[in-house]
Amino acid sequence: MKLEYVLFGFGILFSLAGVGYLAAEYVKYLSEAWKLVSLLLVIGMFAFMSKYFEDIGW
Amino acid sequence: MRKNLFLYLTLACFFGLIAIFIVDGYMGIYDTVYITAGEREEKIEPDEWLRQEKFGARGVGVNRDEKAFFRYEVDNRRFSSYTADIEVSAWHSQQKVRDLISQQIQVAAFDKGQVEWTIDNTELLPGDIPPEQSYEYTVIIKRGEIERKIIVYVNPATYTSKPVPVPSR
Repeated sequence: MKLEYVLFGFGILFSLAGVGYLAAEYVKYLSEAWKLVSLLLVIGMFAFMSKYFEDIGW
Repeated sequence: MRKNLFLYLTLACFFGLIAIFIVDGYMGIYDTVYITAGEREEKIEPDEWLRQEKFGARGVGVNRDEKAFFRYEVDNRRFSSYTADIEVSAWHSQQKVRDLISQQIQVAAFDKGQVEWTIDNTELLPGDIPPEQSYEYTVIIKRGEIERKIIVYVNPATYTSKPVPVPSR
């Protein structure tokens, strides 16, 4: 059971690292306006995710 | 439905981000310059052109007796083919010194095209510049309305010490 959580942890970490790398690679080509929209979407994403976890009782 | 509403909104934001990265970050026309002088190759990547608007043109160093080989690569990341006139010229003190190349480039969708030219410093430098003096000129690449600038620093020739005459007693 504990091993599964460790593997989940690694999976999440690698996914975040991959997404982070791709984001860093392509964010430099974004225009200023779309950078702002992306920032707002990131904020929205984390805000909605927090709300979702709150709703399910975390 | 209400329970999963925030999850759907989270996913919508995530896919919105991915869509922006693909449409605005990946798609488009990207140009890269490779400069080879001596044994060194320098690469000017597309994101550097954006920085140049704030901090000025990128400089590359070339030795006086060397030739500089330029390769201008156009990466067409669009669904349609791309055609443009490429004009390259060398400038010094706001005056055109020489036209280096002028040709049309046609790049198919999701393909790359390139233009190459060579600058021989011995031909480009004015004759009255002494070997121990450095010199610089600007290479301007025009692709349609877009203009890219590269400053080429010509290093002085290797300094050789001159024998100082011994004063007579």
